[in-house]
Amino acid sequence: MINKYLASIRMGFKDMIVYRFHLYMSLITAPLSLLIYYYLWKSIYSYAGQAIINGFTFNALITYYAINTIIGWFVYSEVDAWFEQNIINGELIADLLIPVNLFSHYFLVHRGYSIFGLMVETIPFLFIAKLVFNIPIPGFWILMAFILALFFAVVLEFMISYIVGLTAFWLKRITGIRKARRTIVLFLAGGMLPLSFFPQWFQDISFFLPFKYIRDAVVNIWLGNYEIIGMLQIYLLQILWIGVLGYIIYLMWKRASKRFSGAGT
Amino acid sequence: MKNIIEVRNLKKTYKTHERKSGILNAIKSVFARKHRYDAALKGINFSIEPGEIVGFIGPNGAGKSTTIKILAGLLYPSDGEVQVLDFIPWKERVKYVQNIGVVFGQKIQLWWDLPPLDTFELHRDLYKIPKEKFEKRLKFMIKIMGVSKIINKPVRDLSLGERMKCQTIAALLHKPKLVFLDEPTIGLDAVAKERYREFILSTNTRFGTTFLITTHDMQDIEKLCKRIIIINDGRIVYDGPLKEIKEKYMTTKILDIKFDGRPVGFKHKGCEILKRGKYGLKVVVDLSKSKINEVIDYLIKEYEVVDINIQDTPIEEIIQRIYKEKK
Repeated sequence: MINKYLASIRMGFKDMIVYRFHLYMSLITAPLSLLIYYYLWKSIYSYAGQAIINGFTFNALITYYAINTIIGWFVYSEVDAWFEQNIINGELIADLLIPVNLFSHYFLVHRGYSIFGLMVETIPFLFIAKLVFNIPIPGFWILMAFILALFFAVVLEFMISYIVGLTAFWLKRITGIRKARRTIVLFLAGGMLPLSFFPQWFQDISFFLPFKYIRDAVVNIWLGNYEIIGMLQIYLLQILWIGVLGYIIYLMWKRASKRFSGAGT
Repeated sequence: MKNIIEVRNLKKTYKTHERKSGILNAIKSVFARKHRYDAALKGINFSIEPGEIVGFIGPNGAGKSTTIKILAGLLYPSDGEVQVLDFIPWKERVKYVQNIGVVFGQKIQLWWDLPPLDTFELHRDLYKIPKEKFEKRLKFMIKIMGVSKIINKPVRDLSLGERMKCQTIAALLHKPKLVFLDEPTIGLDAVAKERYREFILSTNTRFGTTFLITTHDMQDIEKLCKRIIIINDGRIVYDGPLKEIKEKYMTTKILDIKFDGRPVGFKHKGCEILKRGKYGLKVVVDLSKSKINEVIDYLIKEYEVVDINIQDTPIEEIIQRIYKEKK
């Protein structure tokens, strides 16, 4: 018998094993994506005729995309889809009948997914990225700092996804909202292009929004672009946003659980 | 003896939106939603003592599932008081559900892509069941339910009946004092239903587990429940021993008869023809006037009978009768 929390993690791990082939495919698609970015930016850098664009060397930029891919795997959250599905078919009750805090349980199941993904996607991909694309692996302390920031980023993205999921209590079908969230957050977080490529006003606003701290800031820690002060500031802002989003979730859940009809179609 | 469930003046009103059919109305509803209030529970009262097996019956939409869901802590009531095992169910959900087991016949409560065994192990850890107790209890229930061959198959590959049995196991592993069963025998064949009922009875006898069962299957009621609560249109119309209902209201049976040839001029004391078909008759027999076997003997003697089906008065009719009386 194991601890309640480990039990949820283990269940997620077991569940992901069922979908392992889907993860194996990532090892084909991710390097391919990286290859496209490689050739695209290679031609941009050679056309621009300069070694640094918007603060990035070519190698750093490729690393940016590779690490973003890895972050994407870790922050992946389907909790919004779970809410949509389980509210529409009424099967949310199954998760409300077990002695778990819903938020923790869902979060920990995802961590089970992440652990499996670490083994089957991340580590192999890092190998490929290092060998084929020569991306730098930072030293121990920077790596630890990255992992800490990554953890907070995972919590942040999960909370955003959770909030979107809770809207299903009111809106039921939120497929469109879910898709929009994924793309918008990806964009605002610097998942498609580093934030330093955007206009200064956009970068300034990004400081006050939570999205930067999900990807852009985290990748830049890997790249060694922050001093200790900079890293501490990032952690502070991540924790701050976790607090804010956590409070929003608390308020929404209070109202949502009163609305719940448990009927389903 | 302190009651394990106390329900006082429980009310629940659902707010939904109404939308008429048609494209125009669909577009209209995007801009101006018409709200509708459905009173599912209009003030119900009842208490249940520990160790009882109570049947909770009523027509579809009467409020059975709503009541169960409120008692299970899944829904908030609109008004009234509920006390279960010294808890207010929806207020301390995580602590509360440690003490109850719930099986919903129409919902999936096991992890879909994994074998039931994985869900069982999850429950073991979530409910903190000691390993030895868990193994013993699991072994016992697997044997009773006859599911040893399927607990390692993914739930998505199981039939409804197999899934129901496994869901019941999952709900009872932690030996809850109180169990809610919502249409639990759905999808089970006759033999499985029998074994299921026996399992409920023995659990009740051995551990004093309290059961509240909603069902449409009258056999479930007959075999399991000494007491039944009938709910109709959000109100309790009867709460008492099953025996009383049977003596008072189940005074008729329906005969569905198929003849070899046209049914001609059938008359018998206490019999009223409900429906006349080409080769069959549906007859209502007033048991206070004639015994069923009398009528059947007469039919077989006088006519070429191919098949006779004996049906109980449907519960809906009994409820209508009770309800009319209450008025």
